[in-house]
Amino acid sequence: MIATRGGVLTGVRLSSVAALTILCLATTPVSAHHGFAAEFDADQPVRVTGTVTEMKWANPHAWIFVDVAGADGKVVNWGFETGGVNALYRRGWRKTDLAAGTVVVIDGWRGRAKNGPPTANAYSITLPDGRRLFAGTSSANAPGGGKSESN
Amino acid sequence: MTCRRRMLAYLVTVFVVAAVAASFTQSVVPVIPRAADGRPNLQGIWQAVGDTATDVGVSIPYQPWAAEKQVSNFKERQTEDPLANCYLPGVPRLMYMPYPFQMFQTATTVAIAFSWSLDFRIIYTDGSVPPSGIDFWLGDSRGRWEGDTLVVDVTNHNDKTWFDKAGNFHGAGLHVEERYTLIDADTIQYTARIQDPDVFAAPWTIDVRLLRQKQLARLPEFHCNAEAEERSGAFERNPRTWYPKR
Amino acid sequence: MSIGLRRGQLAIAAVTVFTALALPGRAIEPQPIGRMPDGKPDMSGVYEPDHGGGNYGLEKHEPSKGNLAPGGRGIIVDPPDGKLPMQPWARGEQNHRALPEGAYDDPSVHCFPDGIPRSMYHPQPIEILQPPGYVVFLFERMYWRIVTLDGRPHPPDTTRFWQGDSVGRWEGDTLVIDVANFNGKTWLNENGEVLSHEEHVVERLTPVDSNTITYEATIIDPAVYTRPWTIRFPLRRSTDQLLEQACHEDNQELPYLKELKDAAAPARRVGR
Repeated sequence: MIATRGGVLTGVRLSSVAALTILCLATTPVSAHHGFAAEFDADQPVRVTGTVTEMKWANPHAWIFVDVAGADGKVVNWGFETGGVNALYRRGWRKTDLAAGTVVVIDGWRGRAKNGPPTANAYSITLPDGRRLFAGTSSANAPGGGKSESN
Repeated sequence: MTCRRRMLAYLVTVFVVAAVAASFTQSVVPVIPRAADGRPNLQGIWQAVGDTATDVGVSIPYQPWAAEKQVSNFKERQTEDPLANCYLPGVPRLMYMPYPFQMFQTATTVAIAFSWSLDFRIIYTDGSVPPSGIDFWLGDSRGRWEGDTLVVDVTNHNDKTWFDKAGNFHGAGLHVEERYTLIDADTIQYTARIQDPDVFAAPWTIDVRLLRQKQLARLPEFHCNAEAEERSGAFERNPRTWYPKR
Repeated sequence: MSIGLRRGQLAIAAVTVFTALALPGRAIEPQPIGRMPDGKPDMSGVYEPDHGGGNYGLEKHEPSKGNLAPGGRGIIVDPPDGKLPMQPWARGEQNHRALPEGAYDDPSVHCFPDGIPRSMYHPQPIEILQPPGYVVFLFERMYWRIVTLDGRPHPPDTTRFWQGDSVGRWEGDTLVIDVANFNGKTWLNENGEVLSHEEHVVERLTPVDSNTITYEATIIDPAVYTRPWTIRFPLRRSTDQLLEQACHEDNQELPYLKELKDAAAPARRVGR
C-alpha cells in the first residue's frame, strides 16, 4: 500500500516494494548510472500520475516524458530518466511497449537542477492494471529494498 | 610476293600480334596476404583515398521529395550534418572518412577499430542473424566470403546519418551491401551498394580504395567530441592530472 | 485490500515469469579453458565484469541514499586494508569531485573513453578478440583497446592516449599487459578517485575456466598515490552479443550537471 499526499510519496509498505524489487533485480549488471547520485536527490522522492507524451528510447539512458496535472490544474511535462535501452532490450522490452497516451504512475527521485522542466530518476513505472514496466533496470534504485547491483 | 610468302607473312603477323596482345592481358596476379584458413587477410591499418567523404560524387537516384531534402540538407550542412555534433557517422561514411582504421580478422569475426572517436564495428562471419526491433547508428553487420571477397550485409540503420558532407542522406529502411576485395597486398577495393526504397528510386553504388597505412605502427586516437569540448572550454583542463601542454 | 493483494500477487508472478524468460546470458556450464592453435588460452567472447561496484568506489562502500550510486564490496586486494593510498592533495581533489557539483567534470558523463582500469569495471559487456598478433577489447560504451603481442616498446613519452598504450605478453596462461602513455584526463570512477598522466598499469588476465577470467591490475601513479595498489575481480562469460551504445548522441545529462557546477562555482574556487 502506498500513501501519497499532493503527488509526493509519504509512505510505503516496504515489504511489497521490496518483494517486487528483489524479484526484478537482474543478474546482469545494468548500464552505467552516469552520475545519478549527483543529478538526483534521494531526499526528494516523487510519485506522479500522468499521461505519456513521448518515450525517448536511447542510450545512455531512456527518457519518458509525462504530462502531469498539478494541484492547480496546470499541466507540466516531466522527464523521467531510466536505465539504458540495451538493458531494457535484453530483458525483452521494446520501443513500442510504452505508447504515447498511456497513463502511468511513476516513482522516482527528483532532479537537483532548478532550471528547465522537472526531472526525476524513475525507479518504478506502473500501469493502471498494476503491471510494472521495464522491471530489472531502474529498480536498482528503489528505496528500502534495493540491493546494490554490485554484489 | 609469292602465295607462300604471303601466307608466311600473314601467319607471322598474326603470331606477333597475338603475342603482343597476350603480353598485355596476361597480368602478373598480385600476391595477397592470406589468413591461416586460406581466406584473404584483411588485417592491417587502412585509410580511404580521395574525397568521397566530402561528396560521394555519384549521381544519386533520389525520389523527387528526397532530392529536395538533399538540397536543403546541403544548405544547412554547417549545423545539420550529424558530424557537426561529432555524432556517429554511420556506415558506409565511417569507412571513407579521412582517418585511419584497423581491421582484425578471426574465423568468426572481422572487427574494425576506428581512430575516429574510438568507434568500432563488429562484422559477424559466423552465420548469425541481426537482432530485430532495434536500430543503430552504425547498423548491424553480418558477413560471408564469396571467393576472395568479403560481402557484408549492413542492416538495422537509424535515419540519422549522412553519406557525406554534402547532405546526401537515407532513411531507416537503408540496406547496405559492402564488398571488400584485396586487389593487391596494400589495397582494398571497397564497394557499398545502397538501397532504400523509401528514399531512392533505384540502388546505387559507392566505390572507394582503401590503402594500407604502412607508416603507422599503431592506431591513433582522434576523439571528435573530446577535442571539441576541450576547444570550447566545455571540458576543462585539470592542471594537477592532465599531461602538460607542450 | 483483497483485490490489491491479488493484483500484487499477479504482478509478482508476471514479473517473475517475464524475468525468467527474458534473462539474458543464461548460465553456461564451465568447460576447461579453450586453446588457440598456438596453445595459448582462448579467451575470445563476450564478458560482463563482476565489478564489485568499482565504478562507484574501489573501496568497500555502502550504496548512496536511494541506491542512486550502488554500493561495492571493495575490489582493492593490495594494500591489505583495501584503502587507496592517496596523497593528501588527491584526497582533497577526490572529496570535491564526489559532490554533486563535481560530477560534471567526470569525463565518463561526457561519454569520453573510460581509460584503464575503469573500462574493465564500468558495468558493460566487453568483447575480447584474439586475432593474429593482437588481443582486442571492444567495449559496449563505444571505445576499444588494442594490445600488441610483438614485444614492441611503448611510443615516445609525448604521445598520450585516453586508453593508454597496451603491450602484452603471455606468461604461461596469464596475459600480462603493460599500459602507459596515458593523457591523465580519466577518473577511476564516479566517486572521483584520482589518476594522473603519470599512471602506469600492469594487468594480469588469467582464465580460470572457460567462463571466467580473473582480472588483476596494479596501478602505479607516483603523482597521486604513496605506493602502487592492486585491484582484482572476475570477468564472467556472457552469451549476449554487444549492442551499440551511442552514448554521446542522446546524452541529456550535461546541462543538469553543468547547472549544479556553475551554481557552486564561487564556493568551489575558494575551497580549492
